[in-house]
Amino acid sequence: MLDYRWITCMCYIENLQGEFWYDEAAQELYVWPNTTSPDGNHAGATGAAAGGPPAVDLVVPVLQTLIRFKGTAKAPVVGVTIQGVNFRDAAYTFMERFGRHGHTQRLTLLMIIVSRSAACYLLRAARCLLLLTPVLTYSNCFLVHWSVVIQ
Amino acid sequence: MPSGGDWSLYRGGAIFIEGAERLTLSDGLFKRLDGNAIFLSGWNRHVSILNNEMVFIGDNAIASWGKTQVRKKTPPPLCLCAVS
Repeated sequence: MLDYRWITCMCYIENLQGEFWYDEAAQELYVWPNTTSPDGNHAGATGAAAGGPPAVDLVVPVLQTLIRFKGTAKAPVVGVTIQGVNFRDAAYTFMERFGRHGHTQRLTLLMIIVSRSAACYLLRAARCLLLLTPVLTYSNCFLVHWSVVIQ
Repeated sequence: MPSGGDWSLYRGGAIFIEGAERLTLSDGLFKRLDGNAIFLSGWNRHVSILNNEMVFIGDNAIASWGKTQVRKKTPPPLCLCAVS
């Protein structure tokens, strides 16, 4: 995850795991890997115990969208089923326009906190859901470590 | 187009679905997706999202956002923005 606290327009290593910074002038990449796995285990524990750096897998995500279904009301995509397929490591989008922080990156920290309010997203999506997407089914979904859920 | 401000939402996701009918996503694991995981955009009908597990999602796990019709000749509404 990129460090979005660009208060001084300087992106530097903070004290949080998962942050990185690429020094273009020196062509050096600084990484503080997030070694916690979704299962709760520390993936880098073995490497650190041996005196070396944590043995973590570093992934450079490229694609923001892994699958795109694009149809219209007159010519919809009909009857597609994706079952038992796992998806992981999509690229971040929060620096994009209208991403969660893309429009607030130069603002104060207070505004960034406001933009992360869950209620705003929930209100807007709920209204659109009732008007335009009336038949949806979410069932038995298991959600862990999500930021905001809209339904 | 006026700024979405704090109410804005990024229209995109790892699985982006728009204009789909009777589409089913089931029994999948969505892991470490640094954005919206599943995004239902615009017109969709009878989309089912069943028995999925989502972990370490950067933004919304499931977002559904329709579209409103905007007349092109209509002047943009007055938008009071605290931030230019």
